[in-house]
Amino acid sequence: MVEDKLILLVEDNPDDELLTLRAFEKNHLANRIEVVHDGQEALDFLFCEGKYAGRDPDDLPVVVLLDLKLPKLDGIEVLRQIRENERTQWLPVVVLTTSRQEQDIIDSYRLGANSYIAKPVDFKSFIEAVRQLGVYWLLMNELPPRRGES
Amino acid sequence: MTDSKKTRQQLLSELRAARDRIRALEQQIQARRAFRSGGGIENHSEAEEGEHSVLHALHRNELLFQSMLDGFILADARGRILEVNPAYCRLIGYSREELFNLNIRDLEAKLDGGEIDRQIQHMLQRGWARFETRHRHKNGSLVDLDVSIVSIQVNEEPMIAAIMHDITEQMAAYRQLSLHNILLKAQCETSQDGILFVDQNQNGLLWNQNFLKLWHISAASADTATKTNLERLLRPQLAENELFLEQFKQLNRDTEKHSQDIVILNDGRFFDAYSRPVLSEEGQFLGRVWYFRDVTEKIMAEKRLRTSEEMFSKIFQASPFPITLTTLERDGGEGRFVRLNEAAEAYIGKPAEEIVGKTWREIGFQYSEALRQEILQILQKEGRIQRKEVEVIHPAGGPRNVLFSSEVLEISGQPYLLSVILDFTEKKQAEQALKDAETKFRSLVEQSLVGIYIISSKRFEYVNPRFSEIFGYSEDELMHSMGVLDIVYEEDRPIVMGNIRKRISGEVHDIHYTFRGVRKDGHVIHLEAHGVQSEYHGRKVIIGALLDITDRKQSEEALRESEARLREAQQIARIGHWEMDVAHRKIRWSEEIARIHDLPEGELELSAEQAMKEFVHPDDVGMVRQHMEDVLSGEGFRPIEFRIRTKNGTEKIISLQGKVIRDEKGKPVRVVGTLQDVTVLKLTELALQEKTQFYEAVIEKAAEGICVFEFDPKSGEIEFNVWNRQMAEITGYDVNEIHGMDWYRKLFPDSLMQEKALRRLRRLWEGDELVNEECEILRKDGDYRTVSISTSLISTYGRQQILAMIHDRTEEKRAQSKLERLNAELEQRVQERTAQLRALNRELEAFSYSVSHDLKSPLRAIDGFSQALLEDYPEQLDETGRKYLNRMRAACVRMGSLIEDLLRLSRITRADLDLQKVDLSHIARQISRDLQRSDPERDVIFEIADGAVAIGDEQLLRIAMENLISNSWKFTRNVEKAKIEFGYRQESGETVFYVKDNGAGFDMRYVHKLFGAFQRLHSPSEFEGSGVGLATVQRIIHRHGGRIWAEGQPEKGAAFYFTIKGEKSEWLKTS
Repeated sequence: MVEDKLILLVEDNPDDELLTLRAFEKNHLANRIEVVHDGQEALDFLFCEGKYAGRDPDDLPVVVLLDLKLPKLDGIEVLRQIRENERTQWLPVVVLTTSRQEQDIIDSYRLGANSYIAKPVDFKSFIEAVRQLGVYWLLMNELPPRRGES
Repeated sequence: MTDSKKTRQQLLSELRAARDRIRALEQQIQARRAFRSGGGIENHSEAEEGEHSVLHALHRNELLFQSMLDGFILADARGRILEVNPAYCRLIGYSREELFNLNIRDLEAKLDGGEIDRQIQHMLQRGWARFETRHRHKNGSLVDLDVSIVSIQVNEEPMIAAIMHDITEQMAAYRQLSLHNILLKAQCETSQDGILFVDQNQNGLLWNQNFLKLWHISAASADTATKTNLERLLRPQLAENELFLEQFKQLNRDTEKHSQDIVILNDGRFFDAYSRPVLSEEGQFLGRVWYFRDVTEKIMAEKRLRTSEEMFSKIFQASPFPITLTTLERDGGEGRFVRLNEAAEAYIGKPAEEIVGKTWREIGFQYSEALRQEILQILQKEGRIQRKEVEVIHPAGGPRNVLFSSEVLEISGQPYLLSVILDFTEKKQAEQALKDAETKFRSLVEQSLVGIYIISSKRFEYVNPRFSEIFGYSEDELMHSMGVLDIVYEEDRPIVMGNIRKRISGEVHDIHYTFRGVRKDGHVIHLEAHGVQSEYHGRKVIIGALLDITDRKQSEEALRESEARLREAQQIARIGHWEMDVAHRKIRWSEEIARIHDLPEGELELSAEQAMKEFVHPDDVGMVRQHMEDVLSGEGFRPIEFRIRTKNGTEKIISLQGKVIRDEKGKPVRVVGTLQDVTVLKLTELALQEKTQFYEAVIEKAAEGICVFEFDPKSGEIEFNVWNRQMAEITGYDVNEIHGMDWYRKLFPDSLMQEKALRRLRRLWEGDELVNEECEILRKDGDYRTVSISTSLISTYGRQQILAMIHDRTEEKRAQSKLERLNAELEQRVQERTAQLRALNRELEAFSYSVSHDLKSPLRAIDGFSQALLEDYPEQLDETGRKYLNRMRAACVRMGSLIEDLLRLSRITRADLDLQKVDLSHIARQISRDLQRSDPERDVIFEIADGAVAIGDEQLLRIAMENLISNSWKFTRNVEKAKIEFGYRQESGETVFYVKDNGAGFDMRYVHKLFGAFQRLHSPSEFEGSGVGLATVQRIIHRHGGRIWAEGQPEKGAAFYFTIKGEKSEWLKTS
């Protein structure tokens, strides 16, 4: 179901976090959104380590929204590790940034960012990014009804 | 939201509604069934209506199901197939009916039963599963499938619905691609070269291990280092980094050129760098592949070769011996001169221009063809000739004896002959004369009819054949097994003994007496002896002649015969004999002597005084007279040489030998002797002496140290025969200070160098040709000197000596190393400065980046939350509140664009220039169109000149042009007939471009403020803007090495002029 489809938001700026969550809410996208605040926490979440050790490893987000400027590990490093891990190498990652610095864009595309959107999260461009990623089907379509609902 | 999304959402809700209706109908039907089975009332019409509606929906689903492009399977929980759609039948090749008898597991070709169970389990937990697998086609081939399965409930039975998407082709392509990748990688790694594949932005895309090794990149950092910034990686390693990197960058953008270059690294290595563009099959430029190969060894070898060539050339020119380089004709023809040194020019007697290109014969030398053929044969067999004695006829000097050494050289595949010529004609002649004389005397003695002997006390040292013949013993018996007295008649032994003793002791010099001897056969014979005391092998001996007077007649006859022969011999040797009667001072001489004095035959007698006056050279008379007095006073006869004037007045040099014959009281009676004309010999000797002095002078004054020495390879001792002034200069030692083993200890204080020098000399002594080397020697004053030494063996009269030429290179070396040190220091300082500047630039870059980032973040929050307030709490805010919030948001937007402008400005300073031909007229036209489109209401006349072309970075120049033209657009807003002009003109050799308008203009008093960042000449309410635009333009123009200036008048308009040099301005370049 839609609410089961997890979106991981990696964002350290509480203002941006709040505005991003508001953008989702405003657009009635009732996905489960998990927010982590630094690069290490993001990796722990994805690889079920540290305080996320008990998490179901199969419960991967359908898309990760990744800020580049992060405490501890920066976004580029997080992206690199996601791409190096066999389990997450195809995970759709959308890079969030405030900056139009060329190097960021080049680095993140080279490391395999699927898309790139500028902050504050403009919902239109988010939907466009997600459409390009091909997770559209998962986000927008309902799955066949489960037992008990039919 | 977009329209397409709305449509989809609408569709979804329609579908949901339809499904809800079906569910409702199903419930009705079930309820009715329950009622029926429970025996309740039937309501046909309602049921029929419901069923009809259900059927209708089913029919629609059926159509969808049949026309789906992906395969569909419905199976029960155990995998038995219950339903398939035509698409799946097409995929798998089975008919629908055949498939009804099959289980999903029968079709599976990839997953085992356990994996399938796992996927089904998965599906049952989550409601769905998705995986990739392969099914086996009826014809045996494999079909790759992307499978989605969901569990559904049909009649309360759990079922599996699977959608199969055919991905065979994608998978095949994917496998092909990974195979290509593996092959490519293997190929890359097996290459000897360092290979790098790079895109046009200098990003490394692919490289092999050799590349990392060559450029000292650790495997661990290879990924980030190579991918992110190749330039940063290569630059510090390159010796001429700007040169190569410029080229590297340019080539990486070039889609056609193949390049080959030598790259010099600052650790002294040399790489051969080859590159070519890589194009896809469609001809699209993908990047460039570079091959690097370490060619340091090869280049160093070439360098060494050049140095040794130079040294050879110096020796060639400086050699005192004639050296020639001639061609070696393959057909055996005469070789032609290619080069020759100065000594050879002097020897031949012609300048090189007249010699080169000719053969020996063509410049007048003559020699036998047989000799030439012999030389060619030796060369063919051994490749060299060492000191071969040959005879040639010199065009000016007649027959010459020459030592000819030659070696075949190969120069660029052509055989050449390097020859050294040593003319020893003079020496040869002197040698021959000596040899001749010796032969003559020997034959004289050997063939003498007088018994000639040399005795030392009691033993024979030598006897001639006649002597042994007299006594009937063999020469061997006499010399080795007999004493002197064995041949003396017993009674006469005391006399003989006494006479021998007297002479050995020096009591008397010579003696003439008779005694009796005994032959081997026992016969007693009478003998006359003439004995003279002399020295032989350092011992006192008696040399004498013995005459058998037993058969005087016979002997006299023999004597006459012998005299005749002697005369003959004397004539040939120009020797005559003479005799002086002491009492009367009368001289008798032989015909040969008369001939020597140019006297007519028969004049054989004259007084000593007469001879003295008439013939002896006036300068020598005193000496000769003294000599005569000495002889007569009993001193014995020493050989004497003096000058005479013959009857014809010819001056000759003669050599006089003689002996005094005494009576029994020891008083001189006669003096007999020989006279030889030695003029020719003497003149030759003098000439030789003169030549020797000449060479000695040349050697002494030579600019190089020259020494010649004999060498004892066993002890290592050296005896110097030549040690010229320069040699003393270089070493500080006089020749007297260096002998024996001194050289070894004094010149080479370090035992390692001593051994090396000794080893070299021994090798040279054994025949190693020419040894050239550079070494250090210690001078007497303790200073070390760097010298280059070339040594060679020279051989004269069978005596082998070593010739060493020494060139002092110390000052040269010191100057060179000083220069190198200075250069290194300078280089070091430049690098330090550069590093400081770079660090500073990086800091600035990081600063501007973080400032912009940090400034934007709170701005975003202010803007975002203002918007949130406006959207979420519109009722709580009145009109004024909303207006304030909107003002806040507008301020945020302005500040945001200000920050963006600042960032762009700093980027322009940083970015690398990509120089190319840029059509500014074209750009101006595009900008004008965009502006007119953005505000169609405005009526502005654009006048754009054609053909404004500049060399520069297109992107940056476009930004500059946009700023200038937009400025004009902005400031002509309030003008009725607005006009904007772009053009150019030639001014003192450069092109000046300009943008003019008739807008608001400015006061020239403030012109200096125009180009500063944030400097504005109008208030924001008049004209909006950040004040960064013109600053940006100025930076762009400066970066191109150009100038920009402005002219304006309030309300009359403004004009901006600029030039573009088409090259980067160094002071603005930061990286």
